[in-house]
This record gives sequence, C-alpha cells and structure tokens, in this order.
Amino acid sequence: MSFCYSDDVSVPRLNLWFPHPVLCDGISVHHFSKFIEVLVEKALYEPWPSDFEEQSKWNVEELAPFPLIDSTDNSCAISHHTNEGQYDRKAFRQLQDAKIRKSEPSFTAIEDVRRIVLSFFPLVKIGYDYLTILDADNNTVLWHILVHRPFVTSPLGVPMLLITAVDLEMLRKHRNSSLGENQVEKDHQRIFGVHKKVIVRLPMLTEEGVGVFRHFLRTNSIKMHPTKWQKENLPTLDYSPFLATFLSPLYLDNQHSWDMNEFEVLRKEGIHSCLISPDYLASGLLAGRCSGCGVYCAKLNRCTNCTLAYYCTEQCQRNDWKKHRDMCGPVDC
Amino acid sequence: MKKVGCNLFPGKDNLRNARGSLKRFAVWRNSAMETKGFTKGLKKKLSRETSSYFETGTCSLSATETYALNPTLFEPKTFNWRVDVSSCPFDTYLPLNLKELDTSAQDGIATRYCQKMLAVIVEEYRRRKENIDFQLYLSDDLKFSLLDCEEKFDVIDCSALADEVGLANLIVSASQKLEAHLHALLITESFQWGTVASTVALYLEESLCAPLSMIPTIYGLRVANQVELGRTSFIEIDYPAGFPPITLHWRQAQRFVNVLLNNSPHLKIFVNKLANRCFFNEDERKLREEENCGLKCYTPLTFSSIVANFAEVVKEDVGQQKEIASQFALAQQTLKNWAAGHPVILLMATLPFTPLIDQFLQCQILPGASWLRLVLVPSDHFANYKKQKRKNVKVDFNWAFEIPKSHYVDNFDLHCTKDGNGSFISMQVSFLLPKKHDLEKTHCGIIVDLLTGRTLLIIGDIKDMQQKRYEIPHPSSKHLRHIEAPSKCHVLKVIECQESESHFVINIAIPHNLSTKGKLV
Repeated sequence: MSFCYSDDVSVPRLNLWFPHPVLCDGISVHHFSKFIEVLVEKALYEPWPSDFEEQSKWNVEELAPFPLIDSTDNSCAISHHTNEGQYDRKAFRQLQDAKIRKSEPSFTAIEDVRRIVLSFFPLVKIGYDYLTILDADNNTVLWHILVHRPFVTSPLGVPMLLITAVDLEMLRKHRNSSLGENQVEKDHQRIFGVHKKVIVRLPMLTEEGVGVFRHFLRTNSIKMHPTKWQKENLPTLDYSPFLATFLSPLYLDNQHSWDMNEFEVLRKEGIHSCLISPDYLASGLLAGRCSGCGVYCAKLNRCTNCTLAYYCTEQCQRNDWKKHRDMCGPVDC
Repeated sequence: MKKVGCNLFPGKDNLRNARGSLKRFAVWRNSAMETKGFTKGLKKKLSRETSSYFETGTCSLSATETYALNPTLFEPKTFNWRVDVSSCPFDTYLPLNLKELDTSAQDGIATRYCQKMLAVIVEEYRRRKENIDFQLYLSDDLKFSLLDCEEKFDVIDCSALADEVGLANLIVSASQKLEAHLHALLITESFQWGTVASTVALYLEESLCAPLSMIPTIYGLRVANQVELGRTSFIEIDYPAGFPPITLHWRQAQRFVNVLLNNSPHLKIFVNKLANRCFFNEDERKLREEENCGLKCYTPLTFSSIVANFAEVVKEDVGQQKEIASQFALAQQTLKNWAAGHPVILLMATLPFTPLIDQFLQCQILPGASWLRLVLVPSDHFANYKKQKRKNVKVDFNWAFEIPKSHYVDNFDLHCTKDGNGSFISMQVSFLLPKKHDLEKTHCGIIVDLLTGRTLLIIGDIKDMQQKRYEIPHPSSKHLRHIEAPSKCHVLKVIECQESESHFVINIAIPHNLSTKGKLV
C-alpha cells in the first residue's frame, strides 16, 4: 500500500508491505486531527499473488472422461464420490438428535461449500447445465454457473466438472462503475442469457461459506488452462468476473473424526466417510432442508414434477408454490 | 551370521500362528497400496509377494543373486536383520501404477515395478546433479540452524521430523537456513497429524498456536497448500491409519516494510497458547499424556526461539509480558540472557557408567526418549525427601509444590562417551544457567519423569559440576529475518499497527506542517 498527499506529490510516498495479502476494496480510512487510521482487510479467501505465477497448469481438454460405472462392482462410479441419494436412510434418522431439527444448524463454512459442490453432480447427471448459487439469507444471487460436459477425470483421479462461472458481485461492481452500456453485461447475457429457463438455485447457508466458495473457484481456475470454447467466448479483462474453472468434491482430511459405531453404520450404508463429518451429519443437513419452511428433516417428499424441491408436509409445498412454480418443470435430459 | 528371520514373531513355536497373522498383515498392507482397481488375481499375487517379504526379509527375484543388505536394519546384539512392520521396500513407490505392472508374471510383480521406478529416479538424479547441490544433514534435528556456516538452501526437505520434534521447533530451526527469496521451499511431512486435529488446518493452528492468517507474521513462512479446502483426493475407507500422511510446502512470506507491529489481543492469545505448551505444568499432566506429533518437545527454548525470531517484527517484548511460573524463572532468564548476547555458563556433570546408568539408558532413552526434565533442588530438602520417600510414596509428584526453590530445566544435553572398543564409559549431562545463578552451594541436579515426577537419576551437586562460559551464540542472533526497519527519512510514519486474524489496523501520523497539503490518500 502506498500513501501520498493528494495536493502535494513532492512529499515522499509511504510504502507499506505486509506478510499477508490484503483486499483492495477492503480498506477504510478514518481521518483524525493528528493521524489517520486505516483498517485493512486481509485477503483470507483469495489465492496468494505468487500462486498465479507458480504452477504448471492442467490441459483439461486432454483429460479422460470419468467412468460412469465402477468396473469392480458395477455401481455408479460418481456416486462413490458424491454420496447421492442418502437423504431418507433409516440409519441417519437413528443417528440424528431430534432437537437439531428445529434449531439452527451449526456447521462450518467448508461443510457448506462441500454440500454445494456435491449437489452439482447429481443435478448435472440428470441434465441440468445452468445453475445459480444464492445467499440463503437474502436470496441475492452470487454466481451463475454454466456446466461443460462430460465429467472428466482430474490428474488426481477424482471426478471433475468443468464450468464457466460469473461472479455476480463483481459484475454488479462493473455495472455500477461503467459509463454507458456495459460490455461485461453484454457478455454475461451472451453466455448465460440463453439458459434462463432451466435454472437450479442452490443456497449458501453461511456467510463465511460464500467467501470459501469463491476461494475454491478461484484457486481451481489457476490450476487449469481454459478450454478452447472458454478462450473464444470469455472476455479477457483485468479483474474479470468470468472464471474458467472446475468443481471436484472436497474430501475430508481425516475420516477418523467419526465415532467407530457411526463409522460402521456409514460403511454398511455404503457411505464414504471421507465426504461427511460428524458435525455435518449432526447438523441435519444430510437429511435435507424443507424448501418451504426451511426446517431440517429426515423424511422429505419431493416435488414429483421437477424432483428438485423437497417438502416436509403438503402445506409447505402449497405455501412455496408461488416461488417454486417458475423453476418447476419436467427435466429435459 | 544367523539365518535371516522375521523378528516380529520370535520362536519357532509361534511360526504357525505367525504365518496366519502375516497373511492378514499382508492383506492390510495391500489395501494401503491402493489396489482398488486391480483384479482379484493380481491382488492375490501382490499379497503373496508382500507376505513373502515379511516372512523372509527379502524380495530378491533370484536365490543366487548377489544383493546389498540394509545396514540400518541389522541388530548388533542378536545378529539378526530386523524386518520392521512399518517398513516395506514397496512403500516408497506407491501407488502402484497398473499400466506399468507386468501382470502376466506369476511372482515378483511389485519388485520388478519398483526396480523400474528406482532406475527412473536414479536417472532423474543423474540428470539433475550437475545443477543441484544435494546435502544430507544427519545430526541433531534442531541443531540444524546452529550449523557453523553461512550457507543457505533453496529447498529444505525435513521429511517427517515434525512428528518427532514438533512442527514449531522444526519450522524455527529450518527456516533460518532457508534462502530469503520468495521461491525458496521448505517441505515438512506428518504421519501423526490426525491424532492432534480433525483437519490439516486445525493441526497447523494447534501445532503453531496461531491462526492460519497470522502464521506468516509470526513464523515468517506461509503454507502454500490450500489447507482450508480439505483434501483434493479420495481416501479409501480401509486406509489403515484413517488419515493419510500429509506433505506441506512452506514459502517465505513477504516481510513487513516500514511497519513495526504493536502488541495486540491476538498476539497475546498466541503468546499465552505457546507458553502453555512450552512451560509444562504438572497440573496439565492428564491433558498432555496422550500428546503426539512432537508436541511434547515444546520447551522453554522453543518459546525463547520463537519469541526471539519474532522480536524484530514487534515493537514490544511480547515474551516478557507473559507471566511464567516461578519454577521456570531461572530457565527463562538463562534463555533471555543467551538471546541478548549476555554471558551464560555451561554446567556439566560427568557420571561414570554404572548398572544404574545402563538401566536408565535402556529404559528411558533407547526405546525413544521419555519425557524428561532436569530439576535443580535444594540439596538439604532433597535429602529429607529421600528419607520420607519410603514412608510416603506419592504418585504424580509436583516438585515445585513439594520442594520450594526448585528450578525446572527442560533443555539439557545427554551425551555418552565410549572407549575404543565401543563400550560406554561415562555419561555427561550438561545445561545452561545465567552467569550469576547463586545455586552453587545449595542445589543439586536430578532427572525426573515429567509425567509422574518420579526421580530417575541423580546427577550430583552443582558445586561438583564443571562450569565454563558457553560460547555458541543463540540461533536467532545468527539468522536475522532481515526486517526492513522504518526509514528515518520518511515524513509520513506508521505510529501504530495491530494485527488480528482478519485485519491490520494502522495509524499513520500526520506531521503538523503537512496538514494543509491536502488529503492523505
């Protein structure tokens, strides 16, 4: 950071360096009579500047497709990594504390992001390729995401989903700062506008999770070369809101954070404990949240039309119809 | 030389049971080899090959082939080569690449694969050795920073030493020998991290006693792995340890320029956490008993090294502000004097090699050093204590509580001297004290077990110990962090800077004569 006087450039600048990167738009200044106080926010959810220059990048167009069937047991290979379809298992009801259903779940930002990422895979499998991420507290849309099929195998051997993402917070800043018609807005319409009808909305449940998800997408974007389509279609701007990036499951570091009895139950159910932690299970998230009242519930019934919304009671479904009808519709695979 | 055998199950009577156990053991090893996509037939062959190695101690492909033996596995007392459960020659080359395996062979599949991979590694080494200077350091892990040379390294690979000596000790020692440029790399590994925390990020915060975002400031290094995002690869359910080993890459962090930190609530929290780890209090016995990952090796010297390393970044002496229990006051004074360049003396007690010393070494040191402490106690009090001991045997003895004016010295050196035949003749115990310690006439030294307080060895009265001035400078004085102090010619100056987990708060003074020069931007 550099400080100087606005009206007298002859006064030497004061240059400050910090051990941790800081956010350009995370600086606030308060003027007092004999000093100024500067509050500088650390860039906690950003790759470090040196990460951008460092590594050799993956050529994602040369990656092999991820097999859909596991050759050893003919099961769905991707679901090994995403724990799909476990919402109404009897075992989870036994493991859950009934009190948790009505209370606010306490889970970490990384759990929130893990859940969102895992949600992508079954949705893309059944045909969705345009999804939005929104802030559950105020329904603000945070990201528009366009999926590029098929699933591929990352150099680390795990399923990988190539995506084009636009950061809508950054887009809004571009919109507010530009004069006249905004080229970035036009690009956004061009890339995402055609997909408006088929939308899936995935809510982020924690404020910190919003930052961690952004960190995840930006970190992944610097690991790969954009695809040919992305090079041709995404604008090359400084501070571009468009990202050529990918999603892969975020696994637990330590599967032994489970109690051994729970571990055995999971194992019998075929759940891979490297994807969910005890806190996540106790939070009730795995049981699913009612799209109507927002309560976490082990037994939910889903909308038979689109199969995307889940409700604990018929009344909740009726109450939510006004919001849900815009996105409800048979899925075109 | 006796026949090579598997020392896991000594005695022929147990061989039948041993074979059954070996089979299970080999199957477990195979799952650790990550053979999920392999056919059943192939897995069986690999299991047989692994089992054969542990049974015979060799994976040679030919009975008549001449091969080199690994001298580190040789037991001089029994003349056996020990086959260790934690060591298999295939481990270094995991995971096995299915495409590279000769699956048509009946046996020796893993061995041939490893031979091929080794040839590749040797070729890589030959190709690079013209441009890279490799050096191996084989002595005491934490004295690495005391190496009497100005040489620094672009890459330092510490293997899994963090599990032995503690991550904080390792980082402070090794980082001082790392080149200052931002591309220099320090590599640390850990096999035991999962015993400390459920995530790698938490393991780092626990081991270094600081939030992730403040580690660059405090230690001068940043972890380059994205530990906040969890693992990027899949863990098989049957992974034996439950958590895979981790490899962490550390880079130099940018230094503060034109800023000196003030003490802040977050820094105080860090200092308190670190002090609690480094100054072991008997009240914490139960909490610390099961500690792994080298956390037991955090001593007053760890605290002194980290605080001294950090001192150039902070205006105030943050270490001084932490109140330490009185039994550590002498140790803290010693280390403070040493760090400041004031004279300290080395005291050495020499003990002839007796059956008692032999027993001490066999039971306490050779199996893997116990958690030991040197206590300096008033000689007359100790004499009384010995008399009372038989009448009043106390478990979990607290020296400072029971015998006032005891001084705890957690950092001491144990050295055994051998004669020309290799037999032990004496043992030396040495430690540092301030030049004026005033204990000469009153105190004696004993070595105790930290967990119980039980006396293990009496090393004698201080008045009988050799004393000489200690000439080796404190490690931090040799390797400054090269912080650029605020320039005196700057008109604008930072008068205060506090750091928290998420922010820096800076106050910049506005000289009076410049207040009309417009707004500071």
